[in-house]
Amino acid sequence: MRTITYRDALREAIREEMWRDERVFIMGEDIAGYGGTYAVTKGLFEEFGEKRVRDTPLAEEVITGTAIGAALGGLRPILELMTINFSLLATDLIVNSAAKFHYMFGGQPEIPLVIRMPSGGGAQRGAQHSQMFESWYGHIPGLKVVMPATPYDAKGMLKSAVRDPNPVLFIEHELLYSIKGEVPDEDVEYTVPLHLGEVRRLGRDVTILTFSRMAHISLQAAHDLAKEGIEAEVIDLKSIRPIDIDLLIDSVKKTNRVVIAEEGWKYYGTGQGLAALIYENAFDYMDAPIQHITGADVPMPYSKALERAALPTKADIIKAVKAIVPTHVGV
Amino acid sequence: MKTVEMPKMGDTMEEGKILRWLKKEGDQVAKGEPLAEIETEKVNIEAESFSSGVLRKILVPEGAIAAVGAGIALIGAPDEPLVAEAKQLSTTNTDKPAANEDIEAAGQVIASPALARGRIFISPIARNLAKENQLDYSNIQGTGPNGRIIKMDIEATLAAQGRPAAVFPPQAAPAMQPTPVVATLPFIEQPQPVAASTTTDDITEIPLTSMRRAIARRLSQSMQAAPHFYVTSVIDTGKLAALRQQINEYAAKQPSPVKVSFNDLIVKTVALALVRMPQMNVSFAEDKILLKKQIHIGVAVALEQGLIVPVLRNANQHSILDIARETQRLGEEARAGKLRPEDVSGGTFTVSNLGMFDVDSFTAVINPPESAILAVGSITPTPVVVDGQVVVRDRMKVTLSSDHRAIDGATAARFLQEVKRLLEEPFGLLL
Repeated sequence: MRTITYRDALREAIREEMWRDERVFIMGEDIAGYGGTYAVTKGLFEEFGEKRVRDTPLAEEVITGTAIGAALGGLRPILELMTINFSLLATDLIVNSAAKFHYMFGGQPEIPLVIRMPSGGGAQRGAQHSQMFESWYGHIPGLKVVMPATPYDAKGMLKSAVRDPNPVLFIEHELLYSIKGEVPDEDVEYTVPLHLGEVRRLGRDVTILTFSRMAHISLQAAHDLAKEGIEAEVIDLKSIRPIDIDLLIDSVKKTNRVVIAEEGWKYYGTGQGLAALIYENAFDYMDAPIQHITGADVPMPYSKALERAALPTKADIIKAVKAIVPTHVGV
Repeated sequence: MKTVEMPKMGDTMEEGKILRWLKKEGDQVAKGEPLAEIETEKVNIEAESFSSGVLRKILVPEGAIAAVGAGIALIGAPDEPLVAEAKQLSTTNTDKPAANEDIEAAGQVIASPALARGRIFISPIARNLAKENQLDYSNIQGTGPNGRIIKMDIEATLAAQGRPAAVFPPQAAPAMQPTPVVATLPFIEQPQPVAASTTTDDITEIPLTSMRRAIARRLSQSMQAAPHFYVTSVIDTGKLAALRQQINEYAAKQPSPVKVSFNDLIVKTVALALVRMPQMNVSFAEDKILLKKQIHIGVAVALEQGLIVPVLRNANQHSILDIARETQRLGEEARAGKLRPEDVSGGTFTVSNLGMFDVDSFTAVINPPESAILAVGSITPTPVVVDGQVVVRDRMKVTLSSDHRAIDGATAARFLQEVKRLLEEPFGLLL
């Protein structure tokens, strides 16, 4: 095992997949000469050349369409959109083309396309560049949407995404690129399944359902809660679509209490979908109403102080847990 | 089928007595027609029917009392089946037996003083657990948010009745794993003023911790619901100190040495006294008294952020050394914040000792659902008269708080006498 950054883990996955399969190539804005906005693709242009590492115009609709066409034509593109915010320009291509072709054309074509997109707030990028859209895409049948939280998962899941025969939206949180974590040595080949979540910490008192950057915050909260005798189980969903429903329902049946912690907005989002699934499948096991921690219901402020106030925190999670976990106190 | 409810006539009315039924079962009733004459605390009044039909069933007979909102009769079509709509019936203080055999036999009547509470909030799993264990939860005071009855309340009630909870769901708790599987947590959150104190010129507002909130809620509930009375006794601790010294000399040489405190001896004493006087080991449950078969002694532990009461299970069955070890473990875990729910629940009697703070004596608030608590003061050299001579003896004041709903003065006094006898002739603790 080595300790490397999330960014390096992604680059290793791309590199290994490009060596493994010559149909794999990468395209996107500033990914070649500049090495990518977040330096994920740094050095790949030098290693693989311009045929397989392609800079594109700043035109998300065009380049997404191009990538879908390449996938239809038998290649395996990894498209980097500079941020998920810009993918809104390509929504029609993603929702109406990539997600639909395999279904609409009788299962004949496959669209082995990966779209990598940074997402999330916390870096003072303002209202238009700090958003979470996983729930928008998680809504669409025909897409897979994953959000790995650790370098290990980033590498393993990106390799799985490249090998998947149909479109995978691979959403990376901007503030995760520099985190470090253990990843197997380069000569160890591994992949991580796209459809499974993971219990990051076992607990008996409450289940914290979370993903991406909030998985880290949730673990910190669980760590603090343990000092007060509250054992929180932390589930990192990893995949927004499909949802590893068995994992979370089993956990809820054990702990009887749920806090959902996500960075995105509250209304009609991922957490509310999860809450509905839990009530449908585990109502009889609930001991308290589900608590839902989200980002503030506002466009992300640019001001540093206001941005911090708009993002969910460890303290928010701890407070939510304490609201539903009984304190065992006497005289 | 419509249920006729005991009407509320005036803001303060909580129950009413049926003086006379003006209709009998099988009579045709029109909306607005007088049905029954009802006596309230203030007036007698005729209750009118709010629907038309046949008076199918009288649920509360003449002379019986029903809570406001309780069903007193059923009105419906002549051929409608009866059972389904028979609502909860609340009768108390009947002059005549209130039993209505048909309905009761049909299992429709849940005598429920809780009716006055209105709707009972209970979590789904708590309700299932109660059902699995055939437990009537209408009398349980919920400790969840908004007074909701939660799983823990059902488990505590079952434990108090000496019944282990039937497991729901059938699932073994997995072993706890030492924290994260995740690689590292590089995300350092900026420290934030969370629920910070706010200070004005004169006042600093300190937000309540959940522990403080729980203490506030439970103890006010105890003070309001349980009429406390206090009995104090002065105990000569000369022999107890000598015995403790002997035990400690012995215990120090054990493979796992341990130091026995006065409090450990008091815990043992109380446990043995409870064996002899089980009527002190009780909970008051509104319409009944629950006699606990097991003796679990809570020991109040002061923490910086509040107070917690870990529980020594079956304290009467353990040796003094084991009690000392277990108390030490619980105390350490309490301070480390590592107590598990099972460490702090199910107590049947509590000992609270402020002796180390040079306290002469004090009175303690009963820790519900227990019915008594012993408050222990300091051991103080005191001049006493023995055989006409003034001599100095070590004395300790203990004060027993008891819930008068369940325990009478003479019982408490006899219990305290037993505690005093055991502490003054402490060899009994070893035998």
